[in-house]
This record gives sequence, C-alpha cells and structure tokens, in this order.
Amino acid sequence: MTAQDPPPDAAVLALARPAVFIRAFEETLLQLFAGGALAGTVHTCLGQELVAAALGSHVQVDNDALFATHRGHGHYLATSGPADALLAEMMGRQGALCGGRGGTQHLRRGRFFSSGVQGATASLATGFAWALRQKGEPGIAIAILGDGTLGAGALYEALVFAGCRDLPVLFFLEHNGWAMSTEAKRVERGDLAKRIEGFGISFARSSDQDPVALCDHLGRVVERVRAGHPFFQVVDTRRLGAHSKGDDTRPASTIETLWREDPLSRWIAERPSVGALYADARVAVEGLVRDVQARAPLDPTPGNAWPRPPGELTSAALLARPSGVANQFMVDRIRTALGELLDRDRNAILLGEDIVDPYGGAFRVTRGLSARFPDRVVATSISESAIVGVATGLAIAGVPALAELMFADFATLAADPLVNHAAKMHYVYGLSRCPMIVRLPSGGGRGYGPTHSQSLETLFLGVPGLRVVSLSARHEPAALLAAVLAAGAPTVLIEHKRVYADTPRAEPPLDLELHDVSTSTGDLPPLVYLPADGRAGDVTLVTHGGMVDVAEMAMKDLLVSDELRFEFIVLTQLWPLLSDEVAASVARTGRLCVLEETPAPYGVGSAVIAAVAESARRPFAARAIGAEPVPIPSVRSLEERVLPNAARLVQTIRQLARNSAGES
Amino acid sequence: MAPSPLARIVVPRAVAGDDRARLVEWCLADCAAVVPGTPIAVLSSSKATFEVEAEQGGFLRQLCPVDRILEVGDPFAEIWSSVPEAATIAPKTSPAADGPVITEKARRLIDAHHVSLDHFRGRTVVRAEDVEAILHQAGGAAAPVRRYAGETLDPAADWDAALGSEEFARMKAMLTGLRRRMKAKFDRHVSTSELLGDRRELARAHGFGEGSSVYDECLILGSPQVGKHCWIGPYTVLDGFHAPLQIGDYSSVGAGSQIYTHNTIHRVLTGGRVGTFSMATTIGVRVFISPLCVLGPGVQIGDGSFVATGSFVEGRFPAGSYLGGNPARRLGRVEVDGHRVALIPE
Repeated sequence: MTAQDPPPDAAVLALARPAVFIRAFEETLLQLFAGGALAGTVHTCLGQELVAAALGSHVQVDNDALFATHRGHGHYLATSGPADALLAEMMGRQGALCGGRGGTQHLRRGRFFSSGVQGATASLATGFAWALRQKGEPGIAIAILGDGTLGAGALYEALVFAGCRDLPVLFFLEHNGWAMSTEAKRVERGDLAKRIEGFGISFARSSDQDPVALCDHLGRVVERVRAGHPFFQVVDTRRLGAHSKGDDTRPASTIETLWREDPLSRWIAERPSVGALYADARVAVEGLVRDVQARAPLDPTPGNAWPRPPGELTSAALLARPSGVANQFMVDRIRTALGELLDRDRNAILLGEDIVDPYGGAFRVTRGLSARFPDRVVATSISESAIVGVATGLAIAGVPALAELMFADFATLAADPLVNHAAKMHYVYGLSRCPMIVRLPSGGGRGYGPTHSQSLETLFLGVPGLRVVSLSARHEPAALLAAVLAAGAPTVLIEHKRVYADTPRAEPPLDLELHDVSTSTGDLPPLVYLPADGRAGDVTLVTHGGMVDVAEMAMKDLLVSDELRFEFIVLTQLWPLLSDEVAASVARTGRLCVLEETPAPYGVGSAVIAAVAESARRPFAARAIGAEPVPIPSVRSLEERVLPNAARLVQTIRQLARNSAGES
Repeated sequence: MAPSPLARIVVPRAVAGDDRARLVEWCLADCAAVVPGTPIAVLSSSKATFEVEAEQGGFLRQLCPVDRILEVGDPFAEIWSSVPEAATIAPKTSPAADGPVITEKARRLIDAHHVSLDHFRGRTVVRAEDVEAILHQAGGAAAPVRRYAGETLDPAADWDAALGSEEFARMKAMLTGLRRRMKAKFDRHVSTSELLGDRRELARAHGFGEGSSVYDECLILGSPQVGKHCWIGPYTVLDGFHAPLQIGDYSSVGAGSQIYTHNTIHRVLTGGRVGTFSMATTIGVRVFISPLCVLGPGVQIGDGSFVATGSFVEGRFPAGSYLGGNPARRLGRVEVDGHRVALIPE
C-alpha cells in the first residue's frame, strides 16, 4: 500500500462499510464475553475484516456455497447474514440462527456453513461444487481455511479430488500467521505455491495491505472459478485478537506491530468517512445488543438428532424378495439396487476406490455400473476422508451420494467427516435431508486378517445424527437403500462380506413367520419372526447382518435336537437402537441371546440387553455372543476360533435354556 | 465291489475368500464324452465367473442341476469310464430333500410307533407333540407299546421260555450255592447282588480308606471321600457329586441313612428360576450315624458325635454332639472315657 495513490472513496467505502460493522460486532462480543453475557467460546476475526469484506463482495449468496471456519462471523456478516440472528445464536435468545445448537463456530444460513473442525470442510466444499456441476446449477463453492489447516491431511485429499475433477471450488486461505499459539513459520516448510500447484490447482498469494487491489484481484479469481476450475488463494492478513477468548500468549510487541499493519485501523484513523462509518456501526451494534438481550431465551428442549420424515415404514417392505433368477447372490441384488437408485435419481452419484469397470470394486458390487453411468460412478484416489467429505458435500447440496469404502476397517480414516460434519447436518445446521450412504464391507471369515476383517460398527454407535444400518440376506437391498435415503439422515450401511456370497432369504426361517412391525419416525424396523403356531418361543435370538446365517444354522440344530422354539429378530437399524420388539419378545420367552461379530462387551448385544433390562418387569436370562477380544487373525483355523460360529451359539443357547428352565 | 468313477470334480476356490459358487450352466450334456481339458461347467461366485475343465477323459455324470449353490470342495460332477456306468449311478442330489425337518424326539416316537410320514405331508417341522397328536388320534384302544433297550416287545410272545432254559437252571443252581455259603459262613441272608460281590472290594474300588466297607445297595454319587475303617450300610446314599462329601475314619452310616450335598427345593418351588442348591457336607472321625437318618447339604458334624435314629440333620454341630429329632437338635454331649461311652443330656 502506498499513500501517494489513494483509491477512490467509493471503492474504499464499499469495503469499509461491512468491515467496520464486523469490527464493531466482534469488539462488542469480546465485551459481552468479559461481562459474562456470552458463555462458551468466541473466535473473533479482528484484523481480518477487510479480507472477509473483499471476498464477500464477490459471493452470489443464492448460488455460491461457503464453508467457513470457527473464525466465521466476518464471512457470515459479509455475505448478508443477519447480525441479530448470529448474536441471538450466541446469546441463546429467540431468533437464533441455528436454535442455539451451533454457537459461534457452527453457523448456517442458506448455503453458508461454518464448522469448528477444519480440514474436511475442504472436501465438503468440493462435494458441493460437484453437486452444482452435476445439477447444472450456477454457483461455486468456497472453502475458507486458516493457515493452521495446512497441517491437516484431509485438506490435501480434497485438493486431489478437486484437481482431478476440475471442480469449481475456491480454496481461500486466510494466513494470519498464527495457528492458535503456534507461529506459522514454526510448522510450515517449503514453497506453498509449489505445494498447491503440485495438485494441478492454480495458486495465488496476496496481501491485504491494499484492500481495494485485493478485492479486484479476488474478483478475477472468483470469475476463474466460475468458469469451472479450482483455485487456491492465500491472503496474508493478521489476527489482532486472541485465538478465542482471553488466550493470547503472543508478545505485546508482536501484537502492537500487527495493529500498526492493520489496514482497517489505518482507514478508520486516516479517513474521516471511514471513521464516521465505524462510529455509526458501534451505535448500530449497541442497539442490536439491546434488541437481542430483550428477547426471550430459547426453549431448552433438546429436539431430535435425526430427521423425522412423514410416512410409515413396515418391516414387510424391507424383506428380501423371492427371485425370478434362482439362487441369485446378494451381491447381485446390491448391484441391482445401486443401479436402480442411479436410474431413478439422475443426479445420484456413486463414488469409491476401484469401483469402475473392469475391476468393479473389491467385492464386485459395482461391476458393470460404470458402463451404464460413466459420469456418476466415479473411482477416487485412496482418500477415505475425501470420499466421505465429498459425499457429505454432495448430500447437503441435495445430490444422493453413495460412497463405498473398500473395507469397513478404512472407516477410521473417514471418521471425522462422518462424526463431526455429516452427523451434525440435521440437528445443528437444520438440514431436513442429508441423503448419503457410506457402505462398509465388514466382518471376517475370509482370512483377510486383522485390518481387513473387522466389524467396526460400534465406532459409530452412539453418534447422534448418524444412522447405522446393517444389511442381511433377509433384507432386499433396493428397499433398504430407498428407505435409508428417504429417511434423510447420513447413514453408515454395514455390509458383512458373508452377506455378499449368501443368497436372498425370502422364506421365513423354519417354523417361524414374519410379525410385521412398522415405524413412523424414519427409523428402520427390525425383522421379527415368531413361531408360526402362535405360541411363545423359548428363547429370543437377536442378530444382524452377516451373523444371520450362523443364527439360522444354530436355530435349526436346536430345533432338531432340543425342540427349542425361537423368537428371531434381525435388527435392521443398529443406531438409534430400536429395542421395543426385543423387550416384548423377552417378556414372553424370559431368555435373550444376542449374536454379533464384534467383541461382545461393548457391542450391540450389550446395548440391547441393557435396554431390555430397563423395561423388563420380570427377571430374564441373557447372553451376548461376539468375537473373542483379539485382533482378527489371518490363518483360517485361528480366525474360526476367534469369530462366533454356530457350534458356539448352539452350546450357549442350550446352556441358557437349561439354566433358566431348571433341567439338571 | 461298488463301481466308482474315474474322477470326481469339485468346486475349486476361484477367488480368495469366496466359499460358494453357483452352477451357471453345464457345457456338456449328461453322459457326454469328455476329453481332458474340455470345459465341463460354468460356475459363478460372488466375485467371479469361471469355467471348470475336465482333467481326465471319460463320460460325464452331472451330480446337480443348474443354479444350485455349492460350497468350495463340493463334488458336482464325475467322470466315468463308460456311458452305461455313468447313466446307472443314481444322481446324488443335495440332502436338503423336500419333506419336513423331524426333531430327534419326534424321530424316536415315529420309529417306536411305526408312524407313517404321510401324516406330516406339507409340514415344515415335525415335533414330538405332533407325533403324539397323531398317536392320540389313533385312539386309546390300542395298547401302549412296550419297549426295552430300543426293541419293541410283544406281550403275547412266549416269555416264559427263558425260565425253562438250561442257562437259567445253571444260574439258579449257582445262586443257591452262594446263598448256602453265606448262611454257613456268615449266618445271614443278603441280596443277590451282595452275594456276587465283596463289601471291602467295592469300598477299595471307590477309593475309600483301608478297612472300610460299603454295601452294594449304597447309591454312591460322585466321589465321596470316606476314611479308614468306616462302615457304610445297605440302602444308604452318599452324595459326593454336587459338592465334596467327607466322612472321617471309624465313622459309620447306618442302614437306610442318606447323606446329601445338594437339594432341589428352590429349583422345584420356583419352577426352575433358581438353580440346584449344593454345599459340601463333612462328617468327622468316629461319628455314629444311626439307621434311617437324612443329612442335608452343608451339614458338618464334629468328631465323636452320635446321631440318633430317624434324625433329619441340617446345620453345623461341634465335636462330641449327641443329636436327634426332626429337625435334629443337640440333645446333649457324648463323653468317651477309655472303653466307657456316655450320652449325657443337657
């Protein structure tokens, strides 16, 4: 910035007007915080207001999506977000932007989203951009990043994705030099431009010292992205305040220098017109505070973590259908189901590693689909975080996203976008639908060893907002997938590998018949089979997914040898847990056995037993059977010993029946 | 000798981890001539479709129809040396034949009563109660079938023939001999089984201490630890099965007395909600248990005690106790002074 060539007043005022309002707003927040009127935390963008204003001036609010950071108030206000809703959100008053659920870090208005966890948001933006292109809608996606995010691997997975697909995403990095208390130069090495260009993405680095010039430059950058290409823009700026509240440990001299270099402070001091705007803004914000403080507090009802679409779902609708083609495998049914979904919704996208022909996925689930839908069945790099992050971005833009992770074991790499982003979309951000399914080929029995055989569904049980569903050979994949998408919550679909090679089981198990149950909450009802003669069973056996055939083998053995009657329940949805039918059955039988492939103590079984115990009116005997608590060994004999099998189940149920039936 | 094929063709493992495959189509007709290397059938697993070739020439025998799901290792075709051989062997179909699943109990009843399976046509499962229903329908007029060791017995047969046999006469003569010996040597009559054995030998066989004896009529459960020089009378029960039972040296269990380490009182009264109760029972040294006493699980009787006839004993009693009654109480103490024994009421 040079003083000899001052920019025209109109251009300055256009940027200064939103910037001084943001400054007055942020300063007021700090005062409110100090005075105890705000709780929790607050991250102000003091010093970065002009950057937000410059970017905001090029955003088409109705078309473009913004994925901002924890330091997102400036971006929100600069893209016409109402200030009172934001203040009410933080103060817990009526009219709060996200009902008080998001607070300072998690905001949403239209296509504006901010999040308290950085990295995966780059994938969300990438997915959103893809959705816009897929739907043929105008608009771009902007991922706002801080320099701290340069350390996050998830960012680079998104860059690979956006670069390879040439998507209209602007990665907008505000480099304020400090990642919380750590100075950026301590953790950054090498040439950032080369780093980013290595992904095939254009790069520019600018200073905010001449805000008007920066704004012009950003206009050109945004136009380039609108033309359909990714771009990575770094703007060097500064953070004048603390990372969050009062946690500034930087030397006073450093902070003094930052204030001297701050262009907005200079404009306020040197340009009377800006000074006047700033004074007006302070008055306006004071009025805003009075208005919001006078409002009634928010209703403290927790609400629902999952969307509740209207309509009823019956378990009969989910049943595997008999086939015209004799003995078709379940893997063929899943393939058919995915094809039907892609046929029905012309925007739906299937993504995952190695899923296109001729390979067709590690388990051949998607074989042939890329030939039918070449643009919508997409093989990705080995980037589980981006696969799920992009799927989330697609889904929040309304495009059904069907992601395959090659093995459920790899879901650990995608836990952040699932848990911290997708799961929050309904409850925190107020989206009524986030139609995404992450398919997880799970379980052992194939000798793939400790990192390709796990049943990790338990990792996702207990995450509100995420639905965990388990496919068995008793379910019709097409019906199940359709029901999951209609329910609208991001869903982890457990597909045990045993199920792939199983044949659809349309006929009820021996001597049992379906007792149809229904839900009207978007939850997926269990399949409940009761004795066909209408009498109560001796034992309630509960299982899901790949353990269905083990359970049925054991039931047949025990029928022949001991004449035991079963009430057999195949769980469809593992989380949220639906235990009413199990409790009703145990009230009849007095005995409960739950079979699954995860180690029993922390599995679905213990949750089912606990839930039944809470509502039980009389004592019952229970057993939870799972794998031995060791990593799953590779060698067949060892693996067979570790995983639950029919012989062990028979023994356990016999013991259960004997103990409480009183035979010696 | 039964004819056998030249080769049996099994489902190969086509892809790691795929344990099953569907028979998609036969490449050759049943009984067709096969040249080594010819594809016989197309199979499809969940991951791959593949052909299986003949390694040996001959004539094909198809063992199952198209579309059947087979496990890896299942034979699905055979190669025979000639057409007639191939054609005459009955095809081996899957054992999952139609017809109901019959439980083991039901099967036993069906066999015992020669019940026709036609009764169960159309059913998927046959349980014992289903067979009983059929038998009940057949009417109470029919006399119940008498069975012994798996054999159906005809009451009308000539069962008395056994009594006239030579073996019976010899056996009877031998028993008479043993009875005479018992009377002559020991001046007593004992049960037939006691005639054949020896009380001390039986005690040794069960690991009882030196000099102990036990009558053949004693019901011994588990492995009671019985000391030296004990006398266990006839018609007694020693239960060392549910928990340890110890009987000290020189103790005596009178005829008809029963010593338990378990009871099923709670199990029975709660209809099975509570399990069998069991607890160790300990009898000290030199304890005299009179005839017709019952000692429950958990009883401890100290050394040198006396239990009067007809007592029902529960609980713990110190050494030198004089017990009696139902329920047994301590009536006094036992004093032993050299050869003199006194029961002193308290």
